[in-house]
Amino acid sequence: MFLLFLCFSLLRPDVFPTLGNLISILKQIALLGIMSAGLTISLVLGDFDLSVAAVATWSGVMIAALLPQMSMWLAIPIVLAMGVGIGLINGFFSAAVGISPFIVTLATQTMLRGLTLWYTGGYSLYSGIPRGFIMVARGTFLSIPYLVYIMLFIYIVVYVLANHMAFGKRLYAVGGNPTAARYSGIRVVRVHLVAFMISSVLAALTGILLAARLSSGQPRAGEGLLLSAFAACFLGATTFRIGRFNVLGTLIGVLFIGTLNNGLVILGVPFYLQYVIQGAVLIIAIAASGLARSSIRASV
Amino acid sequence: MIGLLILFAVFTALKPTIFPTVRNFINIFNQISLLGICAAGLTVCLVMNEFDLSIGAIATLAAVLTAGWLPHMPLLAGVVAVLVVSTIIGLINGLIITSLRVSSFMTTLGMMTVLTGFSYWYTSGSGAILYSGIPEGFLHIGKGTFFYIPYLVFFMIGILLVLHIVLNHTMTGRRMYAVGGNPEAARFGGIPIARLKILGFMISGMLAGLTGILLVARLGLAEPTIGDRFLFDSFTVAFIGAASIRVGRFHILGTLIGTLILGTILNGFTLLDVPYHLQLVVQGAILIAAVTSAGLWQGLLQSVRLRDVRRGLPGGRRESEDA
Repeated sequence: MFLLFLCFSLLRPDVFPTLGNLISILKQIALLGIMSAGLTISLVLGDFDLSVAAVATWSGVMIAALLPQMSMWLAIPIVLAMGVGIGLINGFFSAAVGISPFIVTLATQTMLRGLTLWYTGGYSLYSGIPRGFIMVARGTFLSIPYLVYIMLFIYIVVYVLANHMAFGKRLYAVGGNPTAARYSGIRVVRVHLVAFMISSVLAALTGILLAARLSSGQPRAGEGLLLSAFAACFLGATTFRIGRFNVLGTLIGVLFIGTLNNGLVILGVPFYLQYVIQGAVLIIAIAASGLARSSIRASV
Repeated sequence: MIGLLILFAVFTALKPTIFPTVRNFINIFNQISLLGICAAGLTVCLVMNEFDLSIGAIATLAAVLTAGWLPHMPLLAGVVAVLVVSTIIGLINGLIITSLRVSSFMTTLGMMTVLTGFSYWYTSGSGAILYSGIPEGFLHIGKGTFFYIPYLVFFMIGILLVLHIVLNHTMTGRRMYAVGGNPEAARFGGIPIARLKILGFMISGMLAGLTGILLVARLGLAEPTIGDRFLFDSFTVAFIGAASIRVGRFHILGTLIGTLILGTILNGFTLLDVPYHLQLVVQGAILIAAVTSAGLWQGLLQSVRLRDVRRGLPGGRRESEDA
């Protein structure tokens, strides 16, 4: 399915299949990729984390506010810690108190949006951001942007965490059958808490990098990422292990969305048609892999 | 949870002298009428355990189309055409979900994106805001009153009443609750699940469309983000509603109460001059507080019931209707 689309875009313009453009696609998807990796972890548990985009926006604004006052190496951990804190709040209310995660994160999302607007007054923060910080997003090593390395690093870490460590086994156990997981001695609440913390902290990292890329903290910067992140995770869940959220699948989903957007931009499609095509492709892709799955099952 | 409503009413009434007037209550009802309509449609989907995330985008598209078509069409034809479009969108949602087996979350998320694109597309030729040539008679719907009560309030009450009766006192409604409660059992019971879900999405689409139409009647303009707020607000209200009266169950009466709670709070805040962004913060906090307190209350009831059971008392009493 993914290859199909790649070929599909390859067919069209001469700009698309160049190395430069492939790197540019990778760079464009890096932020989305980091956020989606975190979201995948909470989706494995069936926890919809709707607050990721708001966490990213908030973190972008916070880092832009903190940087003029302190060194980068102090500011970044502070903002990441805030991300962990938000994840803890989400996890506490959904896992410990027992409210549906959809509602909890909907509420934290609203609150964070309100706080962001309150803090910024609706304006962008751009003064006093050091050059070194902006270079994180602009710099390259061996002509590949730092952002791409960061994304790949995050994917390796999250992949190992989810597939080769005890935590990952517990994660899938709780996601698959929470009751059985509890009876077998897994601390279910703790798994939920950690998952929310991971998805929040990666959202915060996304926000920080977004601020570096925009060289400012903008009060609505992260909003567009929510939809794409969910789309990437759900596409990923339909690629190889069907019906299961997995990190590698998410990466493919992210690449798919990145390629699609890049192709549409290169073809000069107006932005409103991009919305239409993205939405339609999302539904078609998921429906198609669902149909493929049921036809495989039927032939067996 | 009605207690919460009273609490907030009292709380706000303590402060300004404007709050507890009849005029302000009518005002609150007027402000919440559109949200009530939109949230009522969503409630029907939620009853069947399906999410409809496209309602905000449907409301927006309906508003944009209304403002675009009414100058060129007779009033009734224009309104009906927009309602038909919205209902068809709901139908498409329902068909994709039931026949292609895509989750409602993803389907309606995709639909939301598609529709947002259409709204921007339709308005792109006219500088994004449509306001010219909307007939005066139509605007009167949004501003007119009957016995001092705005038409919009009658609209809301009428729709809530109809949906309440449909959900609670008809075969269709009971079957919808059956589908939401235990889909397996519903299927074995021979309930046409797919048809009911499609119907639910059509209702939700149509009412979101109506919300968009009435939004134009009230504001006299349309732009491509005009209805977006209804998505979050409708979910908030429906979930507050599900946390009241019969805990964990979505129903129209609860949605109405949720809408009133939110409307009262926002109205009180506006009177107290609380800025918009803080309203967002409080709205989020209230959502969590309402649902948490409902959960605690239910836990309390359950433990009381358990104690009754242990003492050999008739423990089968359902959780109270008047919580």
